[in-house]
Amino acid sequence: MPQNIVVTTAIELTPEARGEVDFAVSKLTGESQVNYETKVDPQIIGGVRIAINGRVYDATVSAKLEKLINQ
Amino acid sequence: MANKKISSSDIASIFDKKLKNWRPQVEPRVAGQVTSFGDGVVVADGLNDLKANELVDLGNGAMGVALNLNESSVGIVALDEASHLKVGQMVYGTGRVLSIGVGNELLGRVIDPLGKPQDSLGSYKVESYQPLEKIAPGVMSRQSVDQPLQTGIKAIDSMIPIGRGQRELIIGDRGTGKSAIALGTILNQSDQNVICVYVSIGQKRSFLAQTVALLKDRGAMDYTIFVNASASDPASMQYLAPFAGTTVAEHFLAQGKDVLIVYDDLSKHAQAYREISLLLRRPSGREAYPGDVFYLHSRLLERACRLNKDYGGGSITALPIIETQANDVSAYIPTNVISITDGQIYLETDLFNAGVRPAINVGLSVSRVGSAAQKKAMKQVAGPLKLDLAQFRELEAFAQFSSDLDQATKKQLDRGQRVSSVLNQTWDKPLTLEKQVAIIWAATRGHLDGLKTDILSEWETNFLEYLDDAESDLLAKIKAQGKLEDDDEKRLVQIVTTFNNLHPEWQIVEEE
Repeated sequence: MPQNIVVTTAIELTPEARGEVDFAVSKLTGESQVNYETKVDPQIIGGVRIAINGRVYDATVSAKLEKLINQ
Repeated sequence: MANKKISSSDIASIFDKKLKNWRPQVEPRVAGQVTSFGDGVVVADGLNDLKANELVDLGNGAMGVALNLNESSVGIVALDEASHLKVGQMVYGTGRVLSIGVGNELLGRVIDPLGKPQDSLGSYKVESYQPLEKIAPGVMSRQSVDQPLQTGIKAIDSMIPIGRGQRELIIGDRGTGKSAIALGTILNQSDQNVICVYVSIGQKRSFLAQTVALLKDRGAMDYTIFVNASASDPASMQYLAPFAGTTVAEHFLAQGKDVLIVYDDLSKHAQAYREISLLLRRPSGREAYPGDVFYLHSRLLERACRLNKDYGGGSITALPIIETQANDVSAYIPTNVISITDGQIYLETDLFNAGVRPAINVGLSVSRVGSAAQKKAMKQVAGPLKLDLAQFRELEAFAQFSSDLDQATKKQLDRGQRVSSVLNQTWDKPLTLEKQVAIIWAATRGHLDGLKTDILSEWETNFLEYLDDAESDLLAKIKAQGKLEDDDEKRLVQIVTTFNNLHPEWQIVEEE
């Protein structure tokens, strides 16, 4: 099943960061080969947001800050 | 603990420590993007794994309910203003179906359909979260209705008796006293071991404030819960209010208690549902109501039931209220609800204007549970009452010619007049069963036939006082044994005759 995967980061991915993201996405999807779209959004401040087919794993700094404020 | 002065650096280090040890969990959330927002309806795409009726987080603390699940988009009804929403914003599913926190501390509180307190008395202890939509109890867990729900209103308790677990519709035009009957019934439950839930849908807030104040004044708030979605609340809240009220009632039902729930009114509920359905672009049918408006009310009212011993033996009695336009009971929503309920109390403007209060049309009102839910004492006096009234109604047209009629007809008319006026009652003065039995007995046995018609309400007030002062043991006896023995009736004859002789000014003086 073709999956729509979007990875959002605050700055352009370095090659080693890309390797880590590859590993994380393959673990989440259970597949060895992963194709994903990358987006750069400085608003998230840091961290990464991985959206797989509408399921969002949000580990961005902005989301953590929001959680902290709402606690 | 000693009063240590805490310096600002201490506070800073406490925060530091807390932050260092804070590891937020990253949990996957179902996300979607808003593509349109208007009139309280949000359309979002994505949100693939959403369930029907699931709560959706719209950001900034605002919530919505997913009502339309389409292949590539979801229609969400916002539950509050959500004025921060912009197109392109992300919204998230919560995985929770719409539910409300219930607990015994709800007694005496006023809440909104999501469980938020509206009476500034702080939060209440939540014992569990129950979903608003529930499937009604099955056939085998129910029992037939055999216990009376005393409304305290003579006309109802005698001829249209309501049982615990029944659904009885109160229907009539505006201003005929529908809410008054429901509130009078709530006021009468103070010693009946019944918990009351009043669901106010689309009502004026001033009316609600008055009602709460009145119930508090009479001590009725101790056993009553208000679930409120007033006229200025969004249509989605007005749509959810009856379901929230029923869920609260079911919490007490599960404990084996008897609950009375009043839905005031379901006409406004149907209108709110029509509004939401039209905004969700669902196809409309008769009178522009959506096709499932019958199912809307049937699934709500089926949750009112009497459970058998294995399931606690509790009951929920429902008193839905429907407002008709120009007495039209054959309109769409009234006919729907009439076919769902176990009877109706039909109020007419003509009767109200003629001074008959409560303005109940006894001929058209019916209770399908009937005398199965009446105490024997009431059954004994109600039979002749119905007969007298029926015969009176037939002869009423001739009342204008009463001087030209034969003795028997005149007697019938006189009796009928007195019996009907004995059924008049102010809405907030409910009567106990024994008092009702005593008065109706006196009227149907002809003890009022010799009295003038204009003093009858005075007669009633004074007679009740007399009973309380001089004969309270007889009242207690009737209450305890639940029926009238022969010697009770003999005593009653003595009491009424003695009382009438105390007031010769009330007797009709025959002109010889």
